[in-house]
Amino acid sequence: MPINGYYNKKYLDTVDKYKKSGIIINVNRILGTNIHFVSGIYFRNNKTGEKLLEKALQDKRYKANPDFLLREIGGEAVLVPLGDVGVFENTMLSLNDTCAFLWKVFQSPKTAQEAIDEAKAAYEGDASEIEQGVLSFIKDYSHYKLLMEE
Amino acid sequence: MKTDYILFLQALKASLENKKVDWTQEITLEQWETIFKLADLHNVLPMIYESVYSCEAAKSIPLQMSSVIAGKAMRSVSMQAVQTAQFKRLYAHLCQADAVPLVVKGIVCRSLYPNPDYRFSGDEDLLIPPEKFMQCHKAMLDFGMQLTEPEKDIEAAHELGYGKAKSPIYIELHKSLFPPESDAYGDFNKLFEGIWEHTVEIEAEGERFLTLGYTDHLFYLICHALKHFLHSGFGIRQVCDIALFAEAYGENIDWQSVYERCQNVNGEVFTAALFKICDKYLGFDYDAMHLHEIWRNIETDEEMLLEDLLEAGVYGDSDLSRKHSSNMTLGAVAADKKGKKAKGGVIKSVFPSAKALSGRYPYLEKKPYLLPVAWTDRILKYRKETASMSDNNAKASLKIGGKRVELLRKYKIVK
Repeated sequence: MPINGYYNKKYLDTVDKYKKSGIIINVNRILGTNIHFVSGIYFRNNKTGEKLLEKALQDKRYKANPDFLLREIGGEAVLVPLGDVGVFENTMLSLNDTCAFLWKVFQSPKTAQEAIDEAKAAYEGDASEIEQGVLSFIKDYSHYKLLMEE
Repeated sequence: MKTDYILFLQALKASLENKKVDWTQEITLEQWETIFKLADLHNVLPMIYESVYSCEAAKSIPLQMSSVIAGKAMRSVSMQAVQTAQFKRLYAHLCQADAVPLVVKGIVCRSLYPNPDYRFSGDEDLLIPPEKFMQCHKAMLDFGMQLTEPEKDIEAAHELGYGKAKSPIYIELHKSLFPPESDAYGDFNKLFEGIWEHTVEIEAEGERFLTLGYTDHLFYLICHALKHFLHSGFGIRQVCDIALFAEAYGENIDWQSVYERCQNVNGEVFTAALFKICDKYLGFDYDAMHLHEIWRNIETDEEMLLEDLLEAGVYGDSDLSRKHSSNMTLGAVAADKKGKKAKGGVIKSVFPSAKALSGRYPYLEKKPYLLPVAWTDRILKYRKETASMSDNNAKASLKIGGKRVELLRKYKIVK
């Protein structure tokens, strides 16, 4: 079926957005892959991915929790909790290079897309992997309240 | 000077410039151990570790050793980060309570370092005029701070220590910059009488703090180093503080005034030697420190002072024999002030005056006739200490004390 004659504008706009972010290469590839259709939005991966992308592409801004400080020494990076931070009290969280980079990105409020764009500018590699990495970071760190929604 | 000391100072210099050393030569395990031991002794381990860990020569450090050092450095940095964050909250609280103290040393100096949290401060020092003390004390308690010595008479004490449960923060709240009862340096306070008219606000670690005027603060840093020198020594951190402060604020400092005030405490040759150390070993030349001509012209040999301070550790606490030798040096200074010959008196070090012991035995303030009891207690405790520790014996203390009194003479602090 011709796309333009069948799908509504909302869908086409969303597809455009995905194309620009590198999630999909072109419309035709969607039909050949494992795609779910939920609420008029197409996304590429599995059930986990669909929720991630749906949420992430909303206009939420995330910011690093100021009750955690990033400190680096000897090539290592850790998050140091201040005060009453629940399970993280009296601990230090060791970060790899990517997480340390993303922590710095989220020192000022950013949407997921803005963080993805900064990561792509800083790192070489598969665009979709970079995107998945950023989205996983947001998901995990939000879960533990290391990242907060603005 | 020992090679290990030179390497240590090179690493420190690199750190102060926010650089890393480029050592490619072979450095033995023993040398690495000495470098890190010095770093630990002087509480600059994170600074030293950061500047050396990635150099070629560091590849020879055994993994077990480097991971222990790295862990220790990281813990120090983390602890300092937490302390600083909590201090900023405390200070904001004190400002809201209209009990604004002057912040001296601590965060003021630390903020001048390329990586402030790498420069560990055991505490933060606050100065409050005596008439505002109770207001400040109440505000501290409201914040959750507690007196570390609750039995102390808070009206009579010139300084009080505060801690907080489940927090590494430690505050010393001072009513005067130096203990007035000290024979050796109680009179330093007279040279700071006008400080409340010259206070300034400076930015440190993203916040603004009220502190001493630039000239007063530099002179205070010098006197603080001198005070510890009179005891049993001071650490290289304090020299770095002086250098960084002079570099940052030197254009605002009245150098002539600093010189004249140093003369009042017989400290001008000592201070000139400090500036020479900053220039020769730490990368701060006289121009960078905005040093006035009057300081550049003082002839002095800085090497003996440097070796003494490297061996001393942070507060002259590198070993207990050295720490106990302070009775002799303080006695020598006190005698010199009274116009007597500055000797490293054994008798006075074993049997000090009630005034000298009142800090450790507060009951002597009101009951000086109990002095023999304090002497006995002190000697018995000392004997117990020396029996269990190899770095702590009377003979060594006397030898160190004698040597250090000669050092005081060399730098013209005593005649």
